[in-house]
Amino acid sequence: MNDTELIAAYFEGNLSAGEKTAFEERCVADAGLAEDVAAYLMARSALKQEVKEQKKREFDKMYQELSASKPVRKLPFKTISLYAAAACIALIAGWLVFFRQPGPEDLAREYIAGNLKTLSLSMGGDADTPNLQQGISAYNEGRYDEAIVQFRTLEKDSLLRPEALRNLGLSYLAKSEYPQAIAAFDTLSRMKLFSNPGLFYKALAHLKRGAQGDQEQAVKYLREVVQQDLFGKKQAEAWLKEL
Amino acid sequence: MSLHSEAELIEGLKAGGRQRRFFERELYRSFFYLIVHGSRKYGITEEDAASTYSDTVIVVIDHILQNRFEGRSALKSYVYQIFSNKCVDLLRKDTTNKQQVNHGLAIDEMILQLPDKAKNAVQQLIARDQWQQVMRCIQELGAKCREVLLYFEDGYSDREIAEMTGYHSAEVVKTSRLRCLDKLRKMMNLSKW
Repeated sequence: MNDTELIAAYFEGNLSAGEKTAFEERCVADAGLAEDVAAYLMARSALKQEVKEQKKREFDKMYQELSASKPVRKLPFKTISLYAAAACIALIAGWLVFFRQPGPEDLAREYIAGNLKTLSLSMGGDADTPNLQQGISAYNEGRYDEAIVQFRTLEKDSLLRPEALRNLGLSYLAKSEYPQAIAAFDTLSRMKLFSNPGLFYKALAHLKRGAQGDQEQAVKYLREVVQQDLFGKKQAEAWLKEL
Repeated sequence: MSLHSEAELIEGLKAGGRQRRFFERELYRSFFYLIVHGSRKYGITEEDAASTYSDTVIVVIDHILQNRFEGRSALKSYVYQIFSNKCVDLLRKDTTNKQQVNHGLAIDEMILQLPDKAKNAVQQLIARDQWQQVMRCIQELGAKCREVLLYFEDGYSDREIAEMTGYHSAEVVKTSRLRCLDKLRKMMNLSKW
């Protein structure tokens, strides 16, 4: 074992008790070895620092991408409040003028247009999750059949299954293939997730289809979303007031 | 927001290899909303809050991998607590100084493995003023060498590195990284290890 291997073995905990003692004694007696150890520690420490900086760069990139897909607040809160108040007044005025109550399908269409027209790419995961990225790109470009093929290939991947099921359901929903969309969301809703959107999207699919009994089903699911504090709770509360 | 439960995030990080890399990004996504929250609560810019959040996630990953996160509180509360502390640090304008001190900390942690006499002999030879030079040498290392050394320093085993980088075996990785360390030493123009 040369000195490089010996030093590495010591700090990686791969020496026997006797070898460790001999190494420690040599550090005191052999100035050359002590210098080598000092250089080794400098390099390891600098590498550790570089790992941190590399991760930080990766996260900074994710921040830029996630911020771009879901814009974070750039204006002072007071300004936003004023805009929001003005928008509310305009909405109320519009409602009074036209006195029109939007139907369940309108609610679903508005929500889809505002929130689901495009999906966020999984940040920084291009190399590890090519099918997912290709599926998302296809969805965002309106090539739903191709998106469905990509998401279907990921259904058995335990790691990506929740995201695949959600995107699969949304692709079917975009094609107005409601039974398949509802089935995907239903499977998703039964998974144990941090913030499960399955039930909310199932309600959305029923609202959008608007067939007999759909509104009742949607209301039932939306109530469950609110009670269980699931993904989409605020939207569900707003819709329940209107349905 | 991540679709994975807290338990899945923790398991995924501990699983190592590619799965760990995936879940590091998922962890970042899970509590991303804290950036806006921190910016409002502490009156800092969103860029500063984002930078603080990145630091937080890096610390939380370390704590999970070293079993320092014992699950006594929810992961969400744990992340929030560390993030809040870091925001307060930022407000106190301590951060820059602390980062400078941290450069030495990694050395100090490793050197503690040596008994006192050996520690003293080595400690006086550590050229802390050469820090920038060493960092520059790492950037100038070949891509493959840098990749292997950084994966190892990030806590991946030789077996995991072999799987992730296409080396034939853990033994080949070990030989390569020792050779790369030697190359780095030569670039640093220090004595032979």
